[in-house]
Amino acid sequence: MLELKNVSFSYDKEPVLKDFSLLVKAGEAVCMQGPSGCGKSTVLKILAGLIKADAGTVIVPSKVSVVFQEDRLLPWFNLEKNLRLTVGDEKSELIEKLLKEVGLGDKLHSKIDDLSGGMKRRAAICRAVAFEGDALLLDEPFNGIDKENKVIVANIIKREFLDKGKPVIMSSHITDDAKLLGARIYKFE
Amino acid sequence: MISTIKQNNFKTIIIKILKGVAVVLFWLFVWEMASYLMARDNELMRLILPSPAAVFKKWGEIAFTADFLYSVAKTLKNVLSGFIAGAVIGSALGAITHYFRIFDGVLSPVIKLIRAVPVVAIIILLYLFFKNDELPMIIVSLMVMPIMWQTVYDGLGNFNRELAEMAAVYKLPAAKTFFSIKLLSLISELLTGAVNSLGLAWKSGVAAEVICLPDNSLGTILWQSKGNVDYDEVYAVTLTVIIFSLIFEILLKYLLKKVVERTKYA
Repeated sequence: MLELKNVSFSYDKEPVLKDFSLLVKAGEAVCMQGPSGCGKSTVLKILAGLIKADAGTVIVPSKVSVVFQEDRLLPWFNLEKNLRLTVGDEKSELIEKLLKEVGLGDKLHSKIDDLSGGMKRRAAICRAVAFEGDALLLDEPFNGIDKENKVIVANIIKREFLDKGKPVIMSSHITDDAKLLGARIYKFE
Repeated sequence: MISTIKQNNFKTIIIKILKGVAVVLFWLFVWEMASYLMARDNELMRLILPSPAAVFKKWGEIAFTADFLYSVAKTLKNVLSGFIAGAVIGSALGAITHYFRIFDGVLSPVIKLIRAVPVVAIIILLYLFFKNDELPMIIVSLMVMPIMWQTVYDGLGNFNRELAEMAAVYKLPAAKTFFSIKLLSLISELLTGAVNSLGLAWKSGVAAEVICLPDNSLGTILWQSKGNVDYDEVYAVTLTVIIFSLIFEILLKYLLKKVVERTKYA
């Protein structure tokens, strides 16, 4: 499970989260929605261990898979090498399988700069899935992905995380994207 | 369609070459006019600023002699060995001072001093401690080292925060993060630093040779030609230094471009 209990966080003394609490149970998906700057990305960063809460309790598995808002793929490696570098060479079969599933099977040796935005997004999601974290954090995961591929990606996430009892938390402005994962909506005030 | 693209590429290359030739011819013309105007009232002034034709003629006479080629090889050895030593030491120091701040505090003042002191002063001071044959290489490495140190230090300090977060989240080992991400993200800065310092390497290397006069070097020939008032030879030797400086700059850019491509598409 993922839990934040009475968490507070400020950027340069500017409060972003104040006594914030949220629970995501095992096998549950939650979609955070709210205006820009309300703290959605901050919650994800705290759960990812990238920043430390100023106060409160954070319960998160030690190994989490993350899909950032940006793709964060390395332009000096091809697609396959990007994923193998981050998730390990021993998972090359899984990587190939996932990339084929999202329609990138023939792009294994492509330069990152030659991929479209939607392709890079799918690749970033495959990276997170192949990492096999005990939870999945998604920041605007479906940006740039067409409807058909959104369904494919959502089904992979459901199969690899939710069906295995792993929690998923995402931020997205689009309620339809949340519905793809059967996610409960959490609205920031 | 493909043949049209190829034709356009060929045309672009030809235009580029013609532009380059035009620029060179323009400056040769300016040089010729300057030499002519200086010598118009006093033919002796031609000694100080010979015409391009005189310089190229002299260059043709000396460039392919065994002695001159040996001198070229010696200067090349001085400059390139100093460049490589300075680049390696500077890059290593840049990484060390980035990761261990205590070394930064100790070494930064020294690096700043080397950059601030005029190269001629450094040459004269170090001449007290090193032999004629050793000094040019040492001077070149001292001139290159601060540039590469700063390049690596700043590059590591400006390392893309987003990629750093990605590496942290995916729990990449420190060595993998350094070699596969940080170092490769630095490649373009390293290229720029290397190209910038190569020009300085040539200047400082030949300057050191002019001052400490190692046997059979281009710098020594420059000094001797000046002493003999053989300015045709002074310009011809200078032309040789420029040619080799340009050749190595082009080679370095090409080599590092290949390295970037290989690491990009590995």
